[in-house]
Amino acid sequence: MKLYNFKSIAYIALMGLVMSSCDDYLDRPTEDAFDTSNYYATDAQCRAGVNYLYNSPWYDFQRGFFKTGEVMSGNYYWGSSPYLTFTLDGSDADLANMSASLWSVNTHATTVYNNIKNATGASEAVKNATMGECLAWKAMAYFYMVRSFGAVPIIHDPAETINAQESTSVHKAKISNVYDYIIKVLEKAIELLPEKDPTNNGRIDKYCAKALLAKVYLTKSGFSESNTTYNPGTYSYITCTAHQRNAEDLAKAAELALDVIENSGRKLMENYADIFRGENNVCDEALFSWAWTMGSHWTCQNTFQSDLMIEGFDENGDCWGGWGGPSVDLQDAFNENALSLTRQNVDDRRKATLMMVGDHYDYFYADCGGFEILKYVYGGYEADGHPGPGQWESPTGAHEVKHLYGNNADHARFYGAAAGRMAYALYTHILRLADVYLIYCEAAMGNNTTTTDPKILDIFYQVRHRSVKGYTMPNALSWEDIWKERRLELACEGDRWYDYVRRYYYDPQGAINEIKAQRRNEYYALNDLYKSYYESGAFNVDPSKHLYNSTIAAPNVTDRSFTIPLPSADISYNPLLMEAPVDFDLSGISF
Amino acid sequence: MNLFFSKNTLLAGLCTVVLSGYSSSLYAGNSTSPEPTAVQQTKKITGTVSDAMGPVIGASVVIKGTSNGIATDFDGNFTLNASQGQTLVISYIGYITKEIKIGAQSHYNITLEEDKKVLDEVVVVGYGTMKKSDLAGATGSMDEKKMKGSIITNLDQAFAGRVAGVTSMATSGAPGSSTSIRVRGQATINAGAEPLYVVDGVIWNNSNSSGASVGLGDRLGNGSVSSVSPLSTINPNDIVSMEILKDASATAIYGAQGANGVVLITTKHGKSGEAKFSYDGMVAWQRQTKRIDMLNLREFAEFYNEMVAQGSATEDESLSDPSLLGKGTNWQDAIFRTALQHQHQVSAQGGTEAVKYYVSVNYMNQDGTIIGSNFMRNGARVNLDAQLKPWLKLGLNATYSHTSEKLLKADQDEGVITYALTTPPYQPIYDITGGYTSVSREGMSNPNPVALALMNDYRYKRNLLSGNVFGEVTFLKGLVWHTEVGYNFNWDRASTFEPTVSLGNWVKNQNQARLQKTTGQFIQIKNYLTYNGNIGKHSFSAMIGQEAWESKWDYVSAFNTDLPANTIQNPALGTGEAQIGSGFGSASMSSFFTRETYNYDDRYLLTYTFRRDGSSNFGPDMRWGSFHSFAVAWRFNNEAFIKKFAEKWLSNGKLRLGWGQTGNSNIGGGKWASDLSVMESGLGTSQRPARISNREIHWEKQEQTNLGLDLGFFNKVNITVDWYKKVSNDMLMPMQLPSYMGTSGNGSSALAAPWGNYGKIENTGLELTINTHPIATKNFSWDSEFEISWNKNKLKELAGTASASIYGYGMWSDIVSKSDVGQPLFQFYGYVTDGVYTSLEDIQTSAKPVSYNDKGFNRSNTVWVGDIKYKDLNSDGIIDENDRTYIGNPMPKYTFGWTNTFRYKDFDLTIFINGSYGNKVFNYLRMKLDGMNSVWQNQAASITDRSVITAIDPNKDYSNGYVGNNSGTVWNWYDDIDNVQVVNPTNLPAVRLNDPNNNRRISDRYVEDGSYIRLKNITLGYTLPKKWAKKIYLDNVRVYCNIQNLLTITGYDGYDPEVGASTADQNGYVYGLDNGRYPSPTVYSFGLNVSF
Repeated sequence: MKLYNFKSIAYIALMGLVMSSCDDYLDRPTEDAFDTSNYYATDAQCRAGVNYLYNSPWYDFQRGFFKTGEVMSGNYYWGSSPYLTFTLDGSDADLANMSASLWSVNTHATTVYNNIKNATGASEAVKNATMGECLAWKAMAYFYMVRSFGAVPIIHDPAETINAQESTSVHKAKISNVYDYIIKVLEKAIELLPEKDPTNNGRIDKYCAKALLAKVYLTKSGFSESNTTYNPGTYSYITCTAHQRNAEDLAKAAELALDVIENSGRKLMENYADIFRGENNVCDEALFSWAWTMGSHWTCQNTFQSDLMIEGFDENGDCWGGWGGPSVDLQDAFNENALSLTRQNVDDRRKATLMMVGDHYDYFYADCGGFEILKYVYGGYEADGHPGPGQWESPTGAHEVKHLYGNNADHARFYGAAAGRMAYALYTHILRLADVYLIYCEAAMGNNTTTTDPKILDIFYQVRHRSVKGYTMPNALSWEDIWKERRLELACEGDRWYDYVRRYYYDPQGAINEIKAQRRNEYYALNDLYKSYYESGAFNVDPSKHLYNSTIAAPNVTDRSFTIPLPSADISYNPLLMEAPVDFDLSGISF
Repeated sequence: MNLFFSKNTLLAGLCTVVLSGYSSSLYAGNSTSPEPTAVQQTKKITGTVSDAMGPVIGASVVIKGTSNGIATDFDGNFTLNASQGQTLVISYIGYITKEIKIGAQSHYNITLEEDKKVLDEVVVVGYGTMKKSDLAGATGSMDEKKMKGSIITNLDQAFAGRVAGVTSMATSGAPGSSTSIRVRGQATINAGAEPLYVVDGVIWNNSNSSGASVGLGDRLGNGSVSSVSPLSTINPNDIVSMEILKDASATAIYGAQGANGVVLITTKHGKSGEAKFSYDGMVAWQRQTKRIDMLNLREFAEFYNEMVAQGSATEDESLSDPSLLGKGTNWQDAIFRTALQHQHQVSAQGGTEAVKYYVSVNYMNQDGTIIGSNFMRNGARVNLDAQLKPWLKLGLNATYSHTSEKLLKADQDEGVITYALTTPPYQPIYDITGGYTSVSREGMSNPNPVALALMNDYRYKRNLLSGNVFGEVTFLKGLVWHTEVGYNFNWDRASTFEPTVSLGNWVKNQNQARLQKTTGQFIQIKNYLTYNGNIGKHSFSAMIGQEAWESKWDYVSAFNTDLPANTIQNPALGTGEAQIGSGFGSASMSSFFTRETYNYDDRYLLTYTFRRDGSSNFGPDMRWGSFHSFAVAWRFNNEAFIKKFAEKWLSNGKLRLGWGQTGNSNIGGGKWASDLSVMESGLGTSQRPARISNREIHWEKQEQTNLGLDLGFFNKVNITVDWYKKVSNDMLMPMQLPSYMGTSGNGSSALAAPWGNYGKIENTGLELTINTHPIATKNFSWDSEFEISWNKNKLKELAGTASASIYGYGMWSDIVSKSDVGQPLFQFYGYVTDGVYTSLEDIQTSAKPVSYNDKGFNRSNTVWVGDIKYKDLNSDGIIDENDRTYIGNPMPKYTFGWTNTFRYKDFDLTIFINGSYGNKVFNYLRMKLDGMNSVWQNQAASITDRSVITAIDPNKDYSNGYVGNNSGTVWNWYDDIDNVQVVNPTNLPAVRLNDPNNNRRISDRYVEDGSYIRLKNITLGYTLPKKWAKKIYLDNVRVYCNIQNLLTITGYDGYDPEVGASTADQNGYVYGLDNGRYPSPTVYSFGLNVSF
């Protein structure tokens, strides 16, 4: 007994000593997940390693994307949003999220690029293709950043900068440097990417990257360091003076755009409204898309409908966007008027962009025979569990259409399952083929204000005729025609503001004047008007009551409006950001 | 045994427990003495042993030098044969042993005195025990008595105000909820700032748990801290004492894990003797005594109508005549309730000299004071000690406990409390059909708070089996080998269910269920060899040992939506997109340690401690860390030259100086590696890099210096003072990076910043404890203990540049706290208010806010008269985010506690007061309660003191419109910037529906003084005199009543100024933010302790 006890005790003691003095005992790598050293070893793993760059890191950019692109540009009315009134400051939450999200794309894309580059096992073709995808997304992130914030630092390899503890000693690079950097990144991407996505799953191919490069050249063509002053200080912003665009850049843009139009094999979709439906998440028209899905990991999903649509629209209790809507100014552009019952259907894009009283949508609430906003608001689709709010909310008389998926049954139609709370699988197209068509038109026109070039006329015609069936081949086009067409074609797709930014580069006063002249305000008493119409069938507009609010002064649009502030937290981390940007030497950049 | 008992004594013996001095010889007195005592004539001696309270039962009375002795009976009486000249030795545990020479008399009344020489207490120090008088480090104790003074569900709740240097703030007032404990200030900013708990030598895997980490997803919020307490599985009634090791020389023996202080918990062990049974029962009623003064229906109608008059709301007939209205619904009364708590424990202990046992079973059930919350615990404990051989001792401690909690999200924007406060009083709780009501206005559909609390079902159940088995081998006198296996197995179940809802416009057509099962196992092995010895005046001890632990965990979870009904909450029944979660992993640590002490003549004490630790949390090259500590103490009261003049009054005098290093590795595993995590994508499931790896990450090392002085006067007053300076070097934290490094923002998508050793924090402080026994007479005694602690905290360095800082977030992305180098941690950060704009001229002549538009004013878009004026701190003429500054420190300047215990005959009364001074609370809730930016949310009654806009010229003619300084034509005085003024400027702005000036921004408007004094506990107890107890065959009977949190004196406007770590911030960088914290209740309880 004595010996036995002693033995067992000694055994325990010995075990403890042996176990713990052995270093293996302390070696506990993660067991339930991959790490970079044992992944990226096959073609499938390389592709899977890149998949998330199409959605997750972009998630937090959704609000900034819409508020900058559409609210600031005057296409969308959003209550007392500082994006509507140009009173945005660096502490704005959407702005902070936007910055964090865009930069995280850069860091993710670079990290995955390096991981794949350093891995072995996968085929060269897939390695190249996936590395090309990383660079294309990296370029896209910088493209949003330079157009939103102006001068930003160029962080070529974030992990390297972090590990060297140099993160807070970087300077902003000049805007022309950032454009040159984007071009460099895209050129490398084009070199790596395949002609056509072999998976047919909406992956970026060579022509997608070329399309983006065309847009970058078009944007950059207006920018000139010698016509730009950087204003250091609290809000660093730029002041540009009017000048001609760079003809070389315009030519490059036209060349690239035409290459895409003629050689990519992609065609414009026939029916404009179809582009924005889930069935066409992957389609010819979509060159770059955020490939949202539903899953157990937050940030994989689309949440636009929650921010944009009236409460109760879907079944998940996650809509709160009814109090905003496409602006009166955008309605004007479509010759539409919320104070009238006559809907403007000459242009298919109107109904596919603006949801108004009298519009019937087959593709929303298909299980109820379609959706009508007025019936929803005042009567509801009770049978389907949609009581409706009983009150008209949108002060502009319109709701957004493009980013909506509808109700759960609509979602199931293209995805096979109902949507979740703030989670749906509708893709967001951020660079479309039609955009490239219009880029070609504008770039090929060069610095002229009108053109009769039949090629340009034809390509323009293809875009406009798709939606305006009565449109005939024009004899001539002015720059304004294309400018306006871009607005109608791409309205509410997060692009309009960047048209103003690139115009500001070379025609600052033109950009300022146009925004100031917009009708950015709301109507009074629309609920009163629509409710009585719904109840009595009589549509009686009382001009003293149901009118546009013209008491609000035009927003204070100035030079500083064209670069949104950097997040204040960043400035406090790195005061160098308040200084004027420095010349960034791109010769050291390698991939 | 050859004991002889009369019938009476036999009966008495059943109920008597001989607490000490039990040996076969004790009872020998009644047997015929085997020893010849013929020299002197023996006679019969009788006597009574008593203490200040009355007769002492079971005291041992032995004749010195013989085995002749007896235990006193129920009345404290004894009888035995002795001869004149012999000495009676009367002893009883906890009392000073008395010796009485037998003289001529034959009856002796002996009064024992309680042994108050606390100096000779033996205290647990980690891998051993030490005499308190030999300690050179700084420690604090909580014994059973102290804990019994309060009604606690979790043992961490017991600390508030009880031990100097320990700050304790309840994270929530929910039953069973967690408490944030800081030993000597916040020494690290990573999640592991809580002290290390060691229960009977077994490390308790502890840290404040996030809701996600226990398997509840984000249902309790996204913060790294939640109200779930890892310590609530321990039954406080089983605990006999807790030692809090504070300074480095005390904690260094736990080296690697001791940086935040160590709490050593000792559970009850059996004493030899016959079985002694105890029952402890308590029943309590808990109430929320405070209500925030909200507008009632009539007042709300008045507020609403004023909005109508100013064109800010449309007329509502039901509210237009307030005189017809009643008070409406009081939503606070609707969600708060008087909640019952009861707990019961039965224990038995006893045994022989060789084998002792302690067995207990317990049950506790506590309803929360918010409807829909509950905490239940039951469990059992067995502690055995066996002296198998003279040289071999074996011990076993085991406990099983089961807890079951029904949780709810009380705080944050979507919490029950927020909705209870903001739901308008015109909304009834139930509609005419008996269902819940719901009202939705302008896109805001407040969930009915009653429905919200009762419908969502969040449950957390835990099972825990823990304990240890140890052996102690005494090789030779003084040389002991201790070997031990400790274990901790848990299997938990967390479930969340959200039903379909169709209440008016609050519609959710999808229900959803989630279920997670988690198991964990923790095994710890340790061995240490101790030698104690002395040579003359030199006494010394040496201990050398080894410890290793391994922890393993795994979980699986299932989630689905669209269950066929709300009744059966099984995710497998769902028809939506099922989600599987699963994970597993392990961690380990290995340590070697030694401690040497040296004591010269009870005057000079030296301690050296060394520990070397390896942790699996660090990369292969960085795993091991070494930690040293030294301490010296001088017991100057034992010096002859001091004794000469001070012996009479100076009962203790000790000067202590210590320095040491401790470590922290409490960051979770794998931070050095570059793991991939899953992310779904439209292109297919993806693997994304989780973080930027840093293979250089290593131990956080803390250095602490402690200077202490212990003084005792007349054995009546004891004073302990400690000063410390604690510097955390190489603090483990994620690198603080600007957003352009791509590591900021949403934790679910950003590539996380590397973890590493990127900061340095310094805490300095002073602690004072005064312990007095002013009165100690037979019938009346008064003990008083006062402690007060000051702590100052400073962030010394951050990696990056001098301008790097740590931001903390309030609810979503709003910065509420900023920690800068050179400043205390977690200070609130925002704008400074400067009254309200009283007129157009005031706006025009002040610094310009961003909503200023020089093209003219508009009530719904620009700054307006009645808006809050913020200070232009950088004097650039513009009020923007660069005008933010520190607006308050959430950490107290000092905290204190004062316990007074009075005893009069059989009554005892304990009054415990604690408090905190100088801590600021950010009353985040008020952003909604006096925001006045919506007519659909109820507001605090304090808004009646708001600034009011009036017309300068009420008769101004607007029939043709007017422009002036307005941006367009206006038709009413209230739209005319030239015709509005504020004549009663107050701290509150005027009503602003769109709030274009953002009057609700983070500013000092919401920073309140959180200082308080609280009557934390009053306990009145009555102990039945033993002779009465005896009549009902009981040994000890005590009844008591207790009131907890009866009174709080504070200037704070919210429910409760005691606000701990924020449950909203993802990283835990916010402290003292009240966004509807579940308030701590007032508890009225009655208890009964019986032993027999």
